[in-house]
Amino acid sequence: MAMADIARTAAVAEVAAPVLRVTDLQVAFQTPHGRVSAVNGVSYEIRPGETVGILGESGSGKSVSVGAIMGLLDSPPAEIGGHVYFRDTDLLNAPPAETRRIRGDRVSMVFQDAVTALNPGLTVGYQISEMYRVHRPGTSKRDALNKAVALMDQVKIPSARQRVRSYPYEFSGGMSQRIMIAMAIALAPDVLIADEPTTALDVTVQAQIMQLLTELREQTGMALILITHDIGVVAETADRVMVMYGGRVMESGPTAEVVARPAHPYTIGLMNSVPRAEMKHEKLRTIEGAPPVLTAMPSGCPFHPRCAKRQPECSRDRPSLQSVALGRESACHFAAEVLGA
Amino acid sequence: MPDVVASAAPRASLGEPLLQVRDVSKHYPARGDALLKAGGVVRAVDDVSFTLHRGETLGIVGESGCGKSTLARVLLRLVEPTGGQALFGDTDIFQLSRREMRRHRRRMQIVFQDPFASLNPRMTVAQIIREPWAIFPDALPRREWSDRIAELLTRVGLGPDDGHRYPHQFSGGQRQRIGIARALALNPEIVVCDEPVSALDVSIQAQVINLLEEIQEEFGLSYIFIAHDLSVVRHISDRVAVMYLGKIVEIGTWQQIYDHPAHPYTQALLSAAPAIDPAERRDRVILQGEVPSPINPPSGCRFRTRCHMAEAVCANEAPELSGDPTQRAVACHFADSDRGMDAPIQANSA
Ligand SMILES: Nc1ncnc2c1ncn2[C@@H]1O[C@H](COP(=O)(O)OP(=O)(O)OP(=O)(O)O)[C@@H](O)[C@H]1O
Ligand code: SF4
Ligand SMILES: [Mg+2]
Repeated sequence: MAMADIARTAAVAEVAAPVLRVTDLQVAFQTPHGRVSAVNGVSYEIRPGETVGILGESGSGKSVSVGAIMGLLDSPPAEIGGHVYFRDTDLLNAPPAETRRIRGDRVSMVFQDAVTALNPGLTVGYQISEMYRVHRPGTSKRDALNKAVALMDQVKIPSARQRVRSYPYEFSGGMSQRIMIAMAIALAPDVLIADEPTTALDVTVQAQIMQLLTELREQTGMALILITHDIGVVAETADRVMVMYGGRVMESGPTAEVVARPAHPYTIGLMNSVPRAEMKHEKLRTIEGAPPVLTAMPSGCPFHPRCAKRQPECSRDRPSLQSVALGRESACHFAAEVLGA
Repeated sequence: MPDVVASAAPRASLGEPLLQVRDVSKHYPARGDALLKAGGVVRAVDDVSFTLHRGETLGIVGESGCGKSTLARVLLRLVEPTGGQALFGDTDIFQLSRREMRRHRRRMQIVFQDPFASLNPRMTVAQIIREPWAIFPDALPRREWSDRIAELLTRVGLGPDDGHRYPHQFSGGQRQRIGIARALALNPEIVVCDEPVSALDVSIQAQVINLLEEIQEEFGLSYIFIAHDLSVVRHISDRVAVMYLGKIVEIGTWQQIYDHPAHPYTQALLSAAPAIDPAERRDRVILQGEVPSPINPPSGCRFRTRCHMAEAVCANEAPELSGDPTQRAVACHFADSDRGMDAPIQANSA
């Protein structure tokens, strides 16, 4: 990156106001086993053109946290607290008429399983152009279809003009995900949330889709929230990363710094679990045990039963997310030590 | 950047050949009326050859639909091959009668990807593990069963008393440990692992990989380790075969495959894998399009429709897997040319 670019990026990051601000997000569910808390005190903000990665293992609360933003959780059973500001509107507390204009329009989403997310009975062109008919009433049928073709071109579906009349079963997994992306960017959203967009895809197709998402973000200046369990994907795409465990943020910061010098024992454990070339002839240094279940969340630090660094206070006192360096936070009693080590 | 690869001691020379797989194919009739009438077949596995040596791990990588899992099932005759040989010593597994095959199964076991679907939910863990002993009465005297079950459970990291519980009472990683204990019950020589960790969380994957490596040494096992995760395969394998559309396109030691990939598909596949460490990132080759259908695979080289090096000859002639399949071999017309082939990885550092 040239010096001028760095200066410009820094300037943009400072000047542009966050487009989405999540503060103290809480999600709990009423279940037959009582009330369980799935997301606890998650806060972050994202600026135009930025990519924030949410990294964690299954059940850590990644999908539930964005489900709350998008209004996808039924309540009951979900109980949602905190604030999600899109510019000045609090999506969790504003009247439905207002949030409807934002969700699916200014803030849109792609899911892991594109193949089941598409309606098998309707042509892909119809499904893409529906975005205009629903959110932009007054768009003519013909206009909407032309826009669908242009979008299919933009997401690099070959022979878009012919394939606009095809049905989802005629598309592979990778092509279906492109159609979902076309639908998600149809209204030029300010924020795109991608929940494991490539997990169901092969690695060479994953590379194509990640390249597409990055290009679209660069072209449009939209902000991208990328949910994944793959540290490699986060490391290559996200400007900043949030590592989640047991519904809480364990650490957050600029991705390059977090992977180079993690400030939380869980992040270290996660990185050690991925076999690297230089560990070929060694045993992997694993995290013992398994991620917690919501009905039996450990006391104190949620990671303490598996943590190699734990001390007696770890099972008693819950560490709060504290600043450990410029732009970096960690929820560990010994964060400074971990970072220094 | 320190040359980590060169400093890592390669494993001692290969053991004796244990399983020799020669020209194995599995073709399925194509589904769908039109294709069936046209006599279409799905060439799921097409003329695959390799040798597995005693004590080694042969990794098999490739993307979905390349035929990895079909190959695993054919080798265990869970599905019948269309052609070829699989020589275990002097015996061709494919020629065994049903009864002989049952006896043979003792020597070759499989661990499946899905720890949820592969264990009978109505059986206790102890029943699951001892089931094969009931089939082979000479395998273990009945009075030793309960001790051996406790021993196996402990070995795979479960509690000795966990035999009384049912599979649904365990997490995914624990269920995979049960599957491994079951595979070990008959003291097999070969264990085929078909995506054994891909359904598991990253932190649990690492535990199971360590376990597989430990028991390999202890029990003197040879592994055929099938997976799509390239870093997992590099970690566990001595040699690696890369499959594309039913064929092995390249086979070699892990160093040859990962440090000097010679087939354009291997190069593209490796370059597509996201890396945590910027120093491990390769110059990405983004392949155009997607894997074609195995029903009417491209003529000549099956990779040619996506290959940046393809020339006329690639459409006309199928490249053979050159060389000796126990050694490094590459199925590309230009494998020996210097057109970007056999180049060491370009770390895009700085
Ligand atoms: N409707 C519900 N009722 C009760 N619990 C729920 C409900 N929906 C989700 N959960 C629980 O909330 C927790 C967080 O789930 P979430 O789907 O956000 O995890 P995730 O991090 O996205 O995991 P994955 O990587 O598997 O997608 C899980 O324990 C899940 O079982
Ligand atoms: S607070 Fe204690 S248990 Fe939690 S991560 Fe830090 S050292 Fe480990
Ligand atoms: Mg999820």
